[in-house]
Amino acid sequence: MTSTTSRRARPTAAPARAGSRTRSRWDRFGLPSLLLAPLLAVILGVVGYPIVRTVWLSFHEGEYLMTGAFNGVDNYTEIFGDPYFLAALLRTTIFAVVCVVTTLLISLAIALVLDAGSWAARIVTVVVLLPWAMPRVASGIIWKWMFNDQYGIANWLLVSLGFDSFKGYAWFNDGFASLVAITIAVVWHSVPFIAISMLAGLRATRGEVLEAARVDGAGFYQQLIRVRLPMMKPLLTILGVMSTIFAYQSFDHFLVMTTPPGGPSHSTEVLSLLTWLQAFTVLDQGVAAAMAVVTFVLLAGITAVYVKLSKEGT
Amino acid sequence: MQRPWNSALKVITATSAAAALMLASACGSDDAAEGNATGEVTGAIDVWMGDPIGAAQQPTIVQLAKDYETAHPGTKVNLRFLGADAHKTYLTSIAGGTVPCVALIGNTWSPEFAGLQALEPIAQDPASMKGVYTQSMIDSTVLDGVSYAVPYDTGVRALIYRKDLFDKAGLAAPKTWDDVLSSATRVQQDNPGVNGFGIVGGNQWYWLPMIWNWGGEIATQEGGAWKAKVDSPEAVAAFTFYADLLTKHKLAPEGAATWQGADASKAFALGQVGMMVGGSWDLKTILAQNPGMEQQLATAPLPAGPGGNNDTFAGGSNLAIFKGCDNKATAKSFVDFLMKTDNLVPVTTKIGLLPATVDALEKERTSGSFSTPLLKAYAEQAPNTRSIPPVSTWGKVEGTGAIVNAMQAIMNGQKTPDAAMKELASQIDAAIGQQ
Repeated sequence: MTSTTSRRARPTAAPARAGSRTRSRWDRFGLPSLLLAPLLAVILGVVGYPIVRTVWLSFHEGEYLMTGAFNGVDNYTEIFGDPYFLAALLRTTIFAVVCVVTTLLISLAIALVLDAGSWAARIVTVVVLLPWAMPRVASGIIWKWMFNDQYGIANWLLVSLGFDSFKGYAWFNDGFASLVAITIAVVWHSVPFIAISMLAGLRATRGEVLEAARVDGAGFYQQLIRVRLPMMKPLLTILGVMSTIFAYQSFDHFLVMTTPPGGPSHSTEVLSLLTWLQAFTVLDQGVAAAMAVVTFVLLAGITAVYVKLSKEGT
Repeated sequence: MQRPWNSALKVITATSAAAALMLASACGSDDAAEGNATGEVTGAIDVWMGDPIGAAQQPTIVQLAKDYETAHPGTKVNLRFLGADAHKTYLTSIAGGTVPCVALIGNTWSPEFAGLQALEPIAQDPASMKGVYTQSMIDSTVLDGVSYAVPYDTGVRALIYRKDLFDKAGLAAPKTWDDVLSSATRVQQDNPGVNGFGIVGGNQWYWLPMIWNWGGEIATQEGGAWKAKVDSPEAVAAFTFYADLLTKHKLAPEGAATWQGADASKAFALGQVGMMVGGSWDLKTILAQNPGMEQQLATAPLPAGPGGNNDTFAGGSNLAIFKGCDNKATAKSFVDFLMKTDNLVPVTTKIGLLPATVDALEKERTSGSFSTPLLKAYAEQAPNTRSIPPVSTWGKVEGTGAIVNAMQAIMNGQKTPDAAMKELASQIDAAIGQQ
């Protein structure tokens, strides 16, 4: 309503300022542009240039860190003709879905506990944040140790619980078991940030609306699903986008926990790892850039879907 | 410690120096780009060293550089230690044109850097180096018939075994891979909790040389182009034999399919392994973790395969002079200085590796640090070594883990040995074939 009135008001206001028309244009566009220019230049430099450069590189030969001749879509035909790349594409997507769903559910559970809790919850909040503060390579190494077949705590725990088949079980001999271990490590690392963000979101839903729901006799689950989560939708969308990007870009854990990286026998190769291998061990920047572009397009597409879904709801 | 802005400054000064040089050459003499065209040993050189020169060896190198400067007034050696990430640093410096004068590089990188036109030839005819250096190390410096580096240190593997357990069973050190199988089986049966053989599925250098032992080749040159031979019956049999040690004979925990050398060493130090293939550095690790084990273990040269040899891979480093160096006279003189037996041996001893010159090796074997009963086997193994195919693109094979993936595919039954080796052959061909 307000926007329509102001839009209608504009023509009447215009004649009054007709004398200073050039100045007003300067005020409205010139000065803001001038003030924004340094920031825009920085954004273009650190975000725009690398993206444009990566796309440009992906259409060129790029052996040995040296940019060669234009080769059209050769790099793309090469990667899409490679069964290991296609397998990695599918694997990364499944891994991301599992990671995102698990992360969001665990984070929500933690956030609800923290939200309901008293002063003690504040101390727990700090503890919950700790995994986030740990460097990913370090956490990867620790998780690898925990899943060690001979001395790992995971096997010890499982055997103690009565699962005797886990005695000496080699998690990293098998692609699926490796992915389970890596998923646990990645989720452990990404939960803190999402949980704290959700806690903030939950706090914001307290107040009149929730009070009204309570008076109307809504139980805990009804309050959560009918009132609080819908109110948090914009936040949940952003968290969904962030954890999806986070999952697609998981790299450190894969590099540290599997031998050789992406092994055994190609069974844990994901997009980020293959891109890195192409760039820094095969030394083919062109193919690596093509892989990066594919990941970028994929993530941009997923983000667009998230945003659309969140808009449809409101 | 080298600070990042120091190297940035160095790049800037190097660039401006190069610009000044170009100006000078434009104005005057043609060979100004050579810098020290007169061949006089004077001025500064940049010297970079990465792995295996770690914190323990750096003081020795720093002292050698000082000694050199004293012996050659007017020279200055600027040392930079790169650590374990050296390969990427060199590649970036080559791409960016800011190379050092002298560099200690991994021996498998030598053909790669030479292929990038980054290295100064050392000898037009590698045969002239024969008898001066360990032969396999000379081979590692060669690309297309020209040698591009000077062999510096050699790392070889030998057999490390539990002498106490072998004596108890009346077994001698295995001479062949069949002996390895029978004695490992026996040791494992006799001693509960001990695995017969330390499998290192995650690191190709512990078993790739078995292809040679079986009489096969990794790749051969056919009319100038390299062709993978890992799908030959000999190579397939060698890989199958090693995989069987784990899957059929169960001589190691199943997790050994992804073990690295350090995992096998750790298990050995804990008394859980009866025998393993290991480098002198692995032996060092074992004894550091369990000093009491010195009395219980022994070493022997590697077992021979059906092919009649026990050849293994010669790991190690070479000294190279970069083409972009503007003070080659001093660079060459510094390399000669480092290669003198009296200067070489203190460094290699500190690393725990063998010197790559025949002269120094003999000294180490007979009276030096490799003359002890425990290390002698390494000095004896050194002549029985080979180099990987000297191709500029070998890094693609090594870096992608293709060889380890093939072994693991056989070990976990994902592929038949024939299929896995056929795939590996095509991957190697794709990487090194187009020469």
